[in-house]
Amino acid sequence: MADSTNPQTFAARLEKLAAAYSKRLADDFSHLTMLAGQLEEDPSCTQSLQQLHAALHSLAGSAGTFGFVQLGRQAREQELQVAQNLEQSCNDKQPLPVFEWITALQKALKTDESKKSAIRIETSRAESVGGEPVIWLVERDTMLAEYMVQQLHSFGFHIRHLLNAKALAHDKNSSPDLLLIDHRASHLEALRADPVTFWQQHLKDFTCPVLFIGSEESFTARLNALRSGGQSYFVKPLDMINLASYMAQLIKTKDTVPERVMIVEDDEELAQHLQGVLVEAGMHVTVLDRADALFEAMHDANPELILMDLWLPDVTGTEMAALLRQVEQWAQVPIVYLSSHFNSELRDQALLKGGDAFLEKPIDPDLLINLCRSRVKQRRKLEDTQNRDSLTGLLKHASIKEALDYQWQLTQRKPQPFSVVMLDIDHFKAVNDTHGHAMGDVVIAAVGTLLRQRFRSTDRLGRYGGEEFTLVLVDCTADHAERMVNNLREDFAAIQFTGGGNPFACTLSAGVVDNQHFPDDTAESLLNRADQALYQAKNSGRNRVCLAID
Amino acid sequence: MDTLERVMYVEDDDDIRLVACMALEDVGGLTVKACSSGEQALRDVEAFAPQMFLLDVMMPGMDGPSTLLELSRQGYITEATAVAFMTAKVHPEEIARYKKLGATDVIAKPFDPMTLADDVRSIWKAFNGRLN
Repeated sequence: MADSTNPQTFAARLEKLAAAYSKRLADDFSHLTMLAGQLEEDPSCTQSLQQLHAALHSLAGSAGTFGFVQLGRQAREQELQVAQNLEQSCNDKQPLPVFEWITALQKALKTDESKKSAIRIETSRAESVGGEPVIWLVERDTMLAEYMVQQLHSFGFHIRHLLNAKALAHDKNSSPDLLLIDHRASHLEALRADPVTFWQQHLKDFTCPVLFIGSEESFTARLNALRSGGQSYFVKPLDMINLASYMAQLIKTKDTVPERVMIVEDDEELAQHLQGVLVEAGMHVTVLDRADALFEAMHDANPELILMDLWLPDVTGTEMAALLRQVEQWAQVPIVYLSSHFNSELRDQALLKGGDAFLEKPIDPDLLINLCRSRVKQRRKLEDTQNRDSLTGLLKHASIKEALDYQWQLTQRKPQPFSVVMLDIDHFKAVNDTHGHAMGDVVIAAVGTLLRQRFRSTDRLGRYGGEEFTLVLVDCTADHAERMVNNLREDFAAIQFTGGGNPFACTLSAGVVDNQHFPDDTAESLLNRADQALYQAKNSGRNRVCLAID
Repeated sequence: MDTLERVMYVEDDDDIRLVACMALEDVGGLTVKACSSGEQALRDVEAFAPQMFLLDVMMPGMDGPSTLLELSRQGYITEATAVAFMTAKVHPEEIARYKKLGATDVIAKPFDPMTLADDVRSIWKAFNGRLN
């Protein structure tokens, strides 16, 4: 890669070219239609067939480059068929269904256009069938099942309904991401006699999480669900929002952000060895061999855990720890001491002076990996509780602003598109006035669940305040963000809330901006632009997404 | 080995030519001479003196292989010149046929604009590794 690269402008130019290319596709299609007409009159006209072959060949070779993957593949298949047809002698030639082909190409193009944003941006939907997590629901009550399918679908789950426990045994070829089971989903005597054994039998081939649902609110029902292999038991009538939120948490692909560890160790061989062990375990490791570069290294690597040699040249590990503890930003980073001489008094001293654990050399690799993992996990949990809003599980106001600033800083050093979205629940005051504040909280929580379900772990999602949300979408242009937020808006509008027996639905408005259209903007002014675009969405009739304009 | 700088690229499809040039120049930092036909390549090759050729296989008029043959015949392909054909994913025997014609390697179409320059450079590297 040359250093002169500016991926930002490159991506933007690529986008422009792709837009120009999709305009050209219209001409390609009319050319194909003309050829189809000619071939209808004279199916074995070699000249038309050759032109058709050339047109399909060019489509097959170019469409994929601009992100029209399905279109390109479809064209490739057709191209091969034309080539075969050209090779056949005149008597064997079957007329080619070119008009049908064109329909198929247009359909493929539609698929590509709707997926284009998803290809560039793998939202959490881009993982299994059409990207949605697949849930199997075992429920005898078809009416209830239908309602659940519709509601959970709004939250971005793909639901497959099975009528009873027996149906679980039929499909050995596919597996769900989660099982949702009515604990009475069978007529069989075996279930009545010994529910736990019955379910253990039926579920033994499944490795995914299992949730039970049922109408009995009793200790026995809950205990049976637990013993049957269930993670939890939900009582009917089901609180769909709560259930969806719980399911999203369970399925959420495990936190794959690598742990950032820094090793402070002057023994080069040992440092390399430890680094190798931790990198092998999927962590991100930096090594520092000079005590005096501590602050720069902390700043660059921003570690979540430090492995600190107790004896460095000219300085002790405990002094290093004390220095770190004086800087607010790093006061909380866990420190694990490495020492070759074991001495309980020394250890106690070290732990008192700001260390969190103490490992003796030679260090057992498994112990090291597990210790690092668990400490970082603890640390992240703690940060989460400090930074997250309890109602929605999204970042709090200060944290989302911090995340935006951080992203902006990052792109100053290394250009990359990102989008800022301001999102607000329409007529929220009316919801509170009509259905009460508790119901208002349910609606806010539903937005939180939907957001966490829909966006990637690298995106930063925050509750800006009240019923207002802020998203910072990494590596995402405003066009893509607009599409994703629009999908979210449609899904949210489909969710039925039940307030005091009166079902109602809510809508969202949003404003979107990206840093590419406003390269000179500060983080603050991008946020303002998103806010203005939101204001415009509100003013032009609500329930819509607006892009920020100059 | 010399660093790859000058690439002559022959492709009849305007859009693809544009995006490939952008990929090779912006991302790869290469100097590219783009030609829309084999005939144009033959006219411009002398002045540009490319280290490597990228040739689309199927083109109206002169196709990729005949462009390569003509370039060879006129002495523009030396043992230090790399040649890559750009074509649909093809069978190994098809690739063997292209290599017989004098191609170093094949780049599959549709290509990914983000990785095209890297692909070209790695072909160049492999080609030079073979010389030593």
